[in-house]
Amino acid sequence: MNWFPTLRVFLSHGGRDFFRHKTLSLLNLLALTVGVAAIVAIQTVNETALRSFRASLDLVAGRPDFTIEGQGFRLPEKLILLLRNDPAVREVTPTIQLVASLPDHPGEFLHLVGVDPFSNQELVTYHLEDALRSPTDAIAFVSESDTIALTRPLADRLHLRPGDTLRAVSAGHQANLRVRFMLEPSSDLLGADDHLAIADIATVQSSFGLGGQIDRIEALLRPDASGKITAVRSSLLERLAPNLPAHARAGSPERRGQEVEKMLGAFQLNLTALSLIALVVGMFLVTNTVAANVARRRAELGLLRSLGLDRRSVIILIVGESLLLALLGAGLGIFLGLQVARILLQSVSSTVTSHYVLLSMKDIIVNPWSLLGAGLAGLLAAGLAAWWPAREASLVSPMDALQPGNSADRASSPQSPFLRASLLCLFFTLLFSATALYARIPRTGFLAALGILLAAAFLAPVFGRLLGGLPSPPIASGKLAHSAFLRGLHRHGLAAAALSVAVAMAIGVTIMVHSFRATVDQWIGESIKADLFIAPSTNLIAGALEPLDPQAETLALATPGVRAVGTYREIRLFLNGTPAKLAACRLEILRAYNPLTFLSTLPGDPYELCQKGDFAIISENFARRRQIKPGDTVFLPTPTGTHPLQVAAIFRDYTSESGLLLLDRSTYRRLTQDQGLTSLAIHLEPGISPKTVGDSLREQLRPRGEFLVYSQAGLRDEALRIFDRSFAVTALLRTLAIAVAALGVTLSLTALGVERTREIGILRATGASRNQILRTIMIEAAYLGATGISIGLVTGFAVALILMQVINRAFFGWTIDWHTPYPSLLGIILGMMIACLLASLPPAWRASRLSPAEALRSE
Amino acid sequence: MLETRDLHKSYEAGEARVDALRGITLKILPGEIVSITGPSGCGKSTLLHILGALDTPTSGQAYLEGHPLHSLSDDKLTALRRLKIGFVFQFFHLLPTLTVEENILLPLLLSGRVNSPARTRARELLATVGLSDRSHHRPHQLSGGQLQRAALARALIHQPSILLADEPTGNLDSTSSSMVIDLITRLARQEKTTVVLVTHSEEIARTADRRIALVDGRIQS
Amino acid sequence: MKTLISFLYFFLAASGLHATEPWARAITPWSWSFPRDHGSHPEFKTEWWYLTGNLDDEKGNPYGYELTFFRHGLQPVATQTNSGWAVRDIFFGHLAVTDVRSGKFLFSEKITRGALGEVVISQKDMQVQLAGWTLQRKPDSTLAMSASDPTTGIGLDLSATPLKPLILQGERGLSRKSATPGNASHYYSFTRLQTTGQLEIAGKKTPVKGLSWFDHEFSTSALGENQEGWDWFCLQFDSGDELMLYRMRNPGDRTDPASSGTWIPAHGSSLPLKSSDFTIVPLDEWKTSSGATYPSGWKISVPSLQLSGEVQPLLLDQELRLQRTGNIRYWEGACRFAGTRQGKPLSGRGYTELTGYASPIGQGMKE
Repeated sequence: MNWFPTLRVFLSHGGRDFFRHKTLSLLNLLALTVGVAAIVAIQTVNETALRSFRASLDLVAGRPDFTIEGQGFRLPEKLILLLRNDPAVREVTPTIQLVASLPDHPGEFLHLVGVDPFSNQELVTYHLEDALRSPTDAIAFVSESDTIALTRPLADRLHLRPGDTLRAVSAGHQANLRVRFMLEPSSDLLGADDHLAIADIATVQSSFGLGGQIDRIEALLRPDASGKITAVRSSLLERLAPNLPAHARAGSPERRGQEVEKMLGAFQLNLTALSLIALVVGMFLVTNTVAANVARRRAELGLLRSLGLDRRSVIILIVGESLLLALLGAGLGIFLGLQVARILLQSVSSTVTSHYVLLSMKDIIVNPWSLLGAGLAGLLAAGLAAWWPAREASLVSPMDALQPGNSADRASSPQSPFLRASLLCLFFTLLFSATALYARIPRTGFLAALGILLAAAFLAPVFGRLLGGLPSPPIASGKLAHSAFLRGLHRHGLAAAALSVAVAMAIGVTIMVHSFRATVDQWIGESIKADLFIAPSTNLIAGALEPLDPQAETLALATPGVRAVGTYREIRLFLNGTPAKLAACRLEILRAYNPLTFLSTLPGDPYELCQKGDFAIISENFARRRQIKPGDTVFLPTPTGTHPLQVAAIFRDYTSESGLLLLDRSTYRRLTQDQGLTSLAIHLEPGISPKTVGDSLREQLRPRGEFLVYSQAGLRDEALRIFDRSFAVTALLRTLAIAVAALGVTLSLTALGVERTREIGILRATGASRNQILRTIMIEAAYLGATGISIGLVTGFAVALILMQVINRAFFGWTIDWHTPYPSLLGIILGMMIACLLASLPPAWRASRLSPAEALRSE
Repeated sequence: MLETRDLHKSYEAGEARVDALRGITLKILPGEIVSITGPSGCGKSTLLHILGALDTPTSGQAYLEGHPLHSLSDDKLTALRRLKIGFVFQFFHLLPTLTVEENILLPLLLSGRVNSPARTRARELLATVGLSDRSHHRPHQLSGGQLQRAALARALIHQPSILLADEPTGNLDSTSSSMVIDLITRLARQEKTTVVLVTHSEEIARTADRRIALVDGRIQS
Repeated sequence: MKTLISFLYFFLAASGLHATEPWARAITPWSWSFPRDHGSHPEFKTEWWYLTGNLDDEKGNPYGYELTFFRHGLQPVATQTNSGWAVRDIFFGHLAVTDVRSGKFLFSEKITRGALGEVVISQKDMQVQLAGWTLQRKPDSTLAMSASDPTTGIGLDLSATPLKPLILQGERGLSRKSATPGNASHYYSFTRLQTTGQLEIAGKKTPVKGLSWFDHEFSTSALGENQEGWDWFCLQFDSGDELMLYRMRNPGDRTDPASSGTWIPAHGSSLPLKSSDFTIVPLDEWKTSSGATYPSGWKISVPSLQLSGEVQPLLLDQELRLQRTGNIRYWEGACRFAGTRQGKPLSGRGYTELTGYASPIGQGMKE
């Protein structure tokens, strides 16, 4: 085989062919572009999230060999002495960090990090520039108790000039900080949060009443004789272990990044899976187009074969053409994907912040490798999609291909293989559902979803034939369309398959999101009983868990009309290596005003158990994910040691993806020594207006910093707003898949239109009117739409079931009550049908415009 | 040169079985111009396709310059077509996207032999078939006779040892027909190419050195 | 943040006279009281404890060492409250070892805010702990010092016993550095300490013995406005005498008239020397890889003592290049002396300190 000449033919011939059949080629291109764009957008957003997080982490912590950090609670600063005197430690430095609200700049906040510039010199990845003096007077940084360094973007945004002061509030402490230094991250820390601010550790401790506390310890180690630090680190860890507080987590700093990746993993996998569906739908379309192309160019391929082109070259020619087109599609897709990523950025950023970790993304970070990956995925998809029709074309004997006649409508392919493949996919769906649920390999849940989608795809041609078995519409164009649809099933089968995949996904996701939202809404209605809620604004803006001003509780209790004040403290930590949320409430208030929905309990009253002893209540998803039931013990690491807590009850909760461990406030305070509160829930006397009390509280709290005071309805709206934002990307991807499927309809009908030029010519010559042709093709589109949508509808329910009962259960463990969103489903069905008919218009119009003579003329 | 022994070919057409060839034994010498005639469905195109390595017999043997066409793999047959065989079809089959000259060079392009002598030869052939002024036109700008003359040039560009023509004048008017047939015979003699010509026209059959008449898949003697 | 410390001044800062200056100044002689004055004087801005010495191993190979502890006050009272990290002083430690036979000069530094007990300096006696490096006066008056740096592989563990009582430098310990009153330090020395212990070089410990020199100096502003640096010599002669000389350099390499010295005879009381009593003439130069030029080798004469001779460094490169302090460079090295006194040959060893040649002195602090 000789590659070069094949390539020559391909370039001189295939290229010109592209331009001769622009519409088909462009649709093909578009299908791939959308698929690649979806992948690029999601990958880029995911990548940006991780890189931004890492850059912020690196900026704060540098790149140490060893870190100790307190999870949930701060560390005592004396801990640093353990490292300072250890021979393995070359350098050790503390950091303390907090999120402070800026009362004079509503909506903004500082992520303030206290550092020791004397001991962090080898670790720092930023540079401080004295904005007041040159050369830099570094002494001011350590000796003046109010000096801070801001990033330039933040300083510009807040209109702060060097020397200006900035009022910052955290946990009831207010400080006037003076902007003196500019914080310049080193160039590789692209994407670090510009809310970062640096001050001397003494400044942070003394300004915010945090004497004696630090958040992290970073250390550089001395390599051993072989120049490695792994062994040094583990022996250091062994030495330190007996002296570390229970809640301290020590080890390599990569761990932290990995934990975040793990935390975001489910979220990102979800998005990635959805983006791949767009590509899968795109693949169907490519197969379809290539098959159409091959059919159209049958004679031409026969000629090339007769002139001595061998079979492999035929495959190379066809796959190569498809790849060249895909190359263009991938390029466009990358471009488009990056634009989409920019649009998605804010939504993903807020979602990650409200569910996982503080994250602020300003612009996308483009990783050339992942772009290349997405491009290659597009090429691979196109290559695979073209392979099958190409192989088929190569098997056609040149002699047959050269026979004149209508080559397009071949004898229909047998049904049984499709049915068998469909059943096989169904089997895999069940298998992977089982592995996700019972073998606890959550990721296989996505394979189950893919399985059901493929099962639907394989069913499409079979179902199309069934549909064709029904009597045809009793008009001429109806009869024509009916037979045309049946004869065109070899082409329509693929379009219907693509359509059914897209519809199934759209319907599945719609049902799932709707059910989830309805469940959460109902739960909010049942579980939010208080009339007013107060929280520091930073917790909403920045997703922080900063404690509230302790005075707020006193103020609220003293406000007339207030009957009771419930308190809430929330901490994020790792239990047995997986993230979890620890919360503390005044359970007596909860019981009296806002009882929990228990799913199972120990004998006795769970509230009383928790108020009296070391008992805890856990959320349903906490129980499911960790396989814990009432009576079991959970070990809670705190600054005072690891405390065994017996599970008193399981309750329903939707506030934490990772699961919630709820304690009574007295137990929490006794075990953790943490007096902080994250928010207050205020219950009013009957007949008192929440608005009046809310306004009064807002007024009283104003001088103490920035607070958010919500009414019951306001909190519900806020919760649902966060919910909707979390699914915004899902909705967008759903739309993309539907758009690709609609393109498929156009593509399929355009291809058939080209194949049937002669046939249409004959029809026209024998007296069919333009309108009849137009109608015929539109009815054919309706057949196609009905096939795809019917299968998609049924499969959609199965997809919803898998999303809720397999993927949700395996990853999150929530209970989602089934709610069928009939109006939305009807909307999708009608919308898709209309999309099909609209998609058929261009090819139908073109076919009806053909002049009979031209159509009959042989090429 | 070309030899067949007891060649049989049958097709499955739905339920029915069609025996297109029922034992053809023939010998064609180098440089000979042979016509195959017969009524529709007598198997003449099938025979031509087997001789042209486009199809394989159900049984019997066929040899082209000693190559056993009945037992070669598709790749080998493809290679033979590329090097030794030239085709002229009833429906011309020029690629619409290529110019006349590119179409003529196509066989050489496929075997990677396009060079300047090849281009010179293409131009000479174009001149011979009277299409020098049409070399950069696209097929749709040409008349049927011109198309077939271009197809003839393409069939001869790689100096095949055998030229197979399947109803080359089937789609042409009589003026164009005689022009094409004249060219085929003239060029074949000039280049010493063996020609097998399938036709149902008595007139054309008479221009051949020898005539083989087929009826129902057998040679009529 | 490397540049943060870059302009933190390294030692002997020059500061203009400010009426509001909250620090004590060395204007009149200190009323000395020992052992209290071996300890810290936090009312002064700058203070150091300085040890240098020439030692030999058992085979007679010569070594030199320098161990210095600095305290630099930023503010008399830390402005941050309620924090263990509040900064009043910044502390530095310098350690250098010269191995003449292998031609090695290795050094190390510490810089710290002294938080959480990282620095402890007594105000009662010489008890200095700075990030693991220590200097302690034992009940028997021996100075015990210990310092090491695993990164550069150097360290020392030495005891130095005074062979002579301490001497007060300058005018009853008031050592003037320029004509301006207050540009002076309180300064005393142990000029001859019998030293034994071990040096660590490249992780290898070598038993050594020899002689050390100790200075303790505290001040608030010692450098004059335009002074560029100084050349300082301490020489310990085989005769049992010692000589200390320093030359404050004004622009144009002119010697400031406030330069002075001290002659400590083997027996009897020490003799202060004025700048007019001695001359120091450089004999050669040594260029650093960074392009700075240090004088190298001097002809020293003190006519009133009938003493003259040449001081030569044991190694050309004994420059400390301190990155963490912010690219501070100075030359502090072991030297030997060969010359005559009253017509008789005189030889000895000592240390030379050269500042202001490769990095400016007191930059960022001259107000």
